[in-house]
Amino acid sequence: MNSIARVAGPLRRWAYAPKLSQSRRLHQTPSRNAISNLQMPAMSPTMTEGGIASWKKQEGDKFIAGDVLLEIETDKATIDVEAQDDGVLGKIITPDGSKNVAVGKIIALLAEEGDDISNLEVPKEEQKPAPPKSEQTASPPKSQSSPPPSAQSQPQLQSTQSSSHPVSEPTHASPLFPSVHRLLLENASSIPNAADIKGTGIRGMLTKGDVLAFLGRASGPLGSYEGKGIKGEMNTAKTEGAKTETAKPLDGPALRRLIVMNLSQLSLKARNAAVAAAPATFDSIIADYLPTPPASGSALKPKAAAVPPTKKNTTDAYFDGLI
Amino acid sequence: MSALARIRPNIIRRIPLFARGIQTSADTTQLQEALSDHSKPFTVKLHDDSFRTFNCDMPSLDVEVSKDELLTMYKQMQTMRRMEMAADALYKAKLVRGFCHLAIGQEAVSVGLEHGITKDDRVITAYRCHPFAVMRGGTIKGVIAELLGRQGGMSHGKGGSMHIFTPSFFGGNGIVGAQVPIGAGLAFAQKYMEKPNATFALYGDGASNQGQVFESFNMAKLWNLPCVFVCENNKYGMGTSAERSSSNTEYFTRGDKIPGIQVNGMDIIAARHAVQYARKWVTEGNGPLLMEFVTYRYGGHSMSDPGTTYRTREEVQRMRSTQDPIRGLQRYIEEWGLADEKELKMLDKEAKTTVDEAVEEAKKSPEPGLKDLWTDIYYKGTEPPFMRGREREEIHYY
Repeated sequence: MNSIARVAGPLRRWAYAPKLSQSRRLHQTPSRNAISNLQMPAMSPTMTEGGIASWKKQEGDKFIAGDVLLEIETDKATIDVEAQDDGVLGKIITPDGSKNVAVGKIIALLAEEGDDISNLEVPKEEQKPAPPKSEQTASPPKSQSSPPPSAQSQPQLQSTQSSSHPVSEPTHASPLFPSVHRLLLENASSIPNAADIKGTGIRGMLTKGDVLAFLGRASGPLGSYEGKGIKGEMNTAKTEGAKTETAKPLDGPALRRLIVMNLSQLSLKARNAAVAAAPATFDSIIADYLPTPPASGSALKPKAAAVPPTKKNTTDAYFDGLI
Repeated sequence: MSALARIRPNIIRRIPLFARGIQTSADTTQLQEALSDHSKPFTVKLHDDSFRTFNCDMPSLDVEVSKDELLTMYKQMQTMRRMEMAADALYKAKLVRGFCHLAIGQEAVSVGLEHGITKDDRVITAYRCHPFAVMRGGTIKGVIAELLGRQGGMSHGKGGSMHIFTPSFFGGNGIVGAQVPIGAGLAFAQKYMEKPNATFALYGDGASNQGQVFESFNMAKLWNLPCVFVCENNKYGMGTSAERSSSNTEYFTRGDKIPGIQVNGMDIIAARHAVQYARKWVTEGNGPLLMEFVTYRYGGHSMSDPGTTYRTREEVQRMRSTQDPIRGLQRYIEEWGLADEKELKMLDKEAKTTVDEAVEEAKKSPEPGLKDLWTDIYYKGTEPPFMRGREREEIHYY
């Protein structure tokens, strides 16, 4: 290479990255033609770019491992960069004061001792090869995994499980509650396929009530519960919410109208209540205090305390049973 | 506090006035007589201050070495140095993320340990584990790929720096000092199964004050376990110097009833000799032994630590130039006429190309796929029927 350079005029010597072919050359001198690139290091894991504060070594300076080569300015601090190996600083590519140097950019060329560093070319920036991604890329398995495996793996599971267990593992499109799971196992003889039972729980999950209703041991998934159930409550809550949202706040005249109407209604009620005075017989008065007969329905009827008896019986008969 | 570290001169070690301190140079071993035949093993004499003992006999200072062994150790140390430097460069190029604790400067401990034990002995250490992993049957490509998080790594890219295992190397452990009770347990298993092997449980000077370390000492001594507790004293526990963290910095004496030996951890011949002595001690049924390697790390505690806020750069440079284990071994080899500078440079070059090739190979390895979310959780054959994933709908059926 050197002879060619001498013969063919001022040929520039290209900067090499260390190659195997060169290492196999016979040793002429201790020098190896290994020009290595000094890339901008990331001094912290979050650093993406930095500035060159100052070079501590100049072109041609020798250094040993551990010497400070330059200072790098990050957004947080100015940090020294040490050399890893012994060598000679060949060429500085980004001089003092360079800003916004990206991490990985080549900032200098380092050479071994004894190398010729007079003509060093800046090598072309190599594209960093992205790590090869494996075949399964971004598609998450999410909903794909649950329905197909539940359909396909059920017969598989049952066939594999039946060899190891006498009872096959019950499966459903959605996860099973432990109580439900136990019920299904205990009644496996009367429930051939748990997936047939429709789930009325949250997100279609199978509830204990569903299984019991299927078995005939309960009247329905909610049994004797009189409330609206979760879905019922949710529905009414929704509608009530919708209603209250649409009700507008009352303005002055409407408010006054409301008050006056309610007042008139109440006063009418009171007047009618006051006027209606049936002639009081003994039976009518006593009937208030006697227990209501059972044929009338529920035992505890709330007494109408708002209507007091018109004539109080203050005779001795009132005290009869007491003394 | 760190500013004080710069101003304060080197803390004088608390050794009594006329007691001899250990010397930590890497090049003080003397040749006994001029070598005539390089193919046969020969005897060398270690420096008088290579060892200090506590309640046990001093190992003999005459060591038999051979040319092949020394050249192998040189190449291995150089390869380990190169691998750690490659990991450093990869971290700075943001290809390795997370934790990365490098053992540059401590190569004599890992290579010396490997040459003093058999392949059936067990080793367990903390997170400064890359050289140990390779020495104990791992590959450089496996370690680098694990750091890069690729499938070619020794834990398939899912473990990282602190999760590298081989059949005789138990990691790679993240919690400080947690590996010492596990090491005692390994020794217990060896004794229970009547194996003629030893376990080496390593920890650092920073971990030596952990409670479970002393609990392990007690159990090992009580049951006479074949466990060698090795303290790698690199003088700094993260950023705290040993004198500021420990009331007793003579870590080899902290075993109470367990005898101890302090070894120059920068001279690989002394290190290997001490490991052989320790192995012999514990496998002969004398119970556990405490070993302290006095060594030094040039880098910071981890890659996020520059390493200069708690010690001066001059100190690091001084250790690098006067007490480097690789330079020390190089001096031995050259002085004793086993190889000349050119041959050693060839070995250096081979080490560099080995590591470069391994790095390239590791970079080509793909990242773990989605199916790897479900593997390596349960022992094969004992998996449950299904496993929940990251979201409710993500269920994996085994």
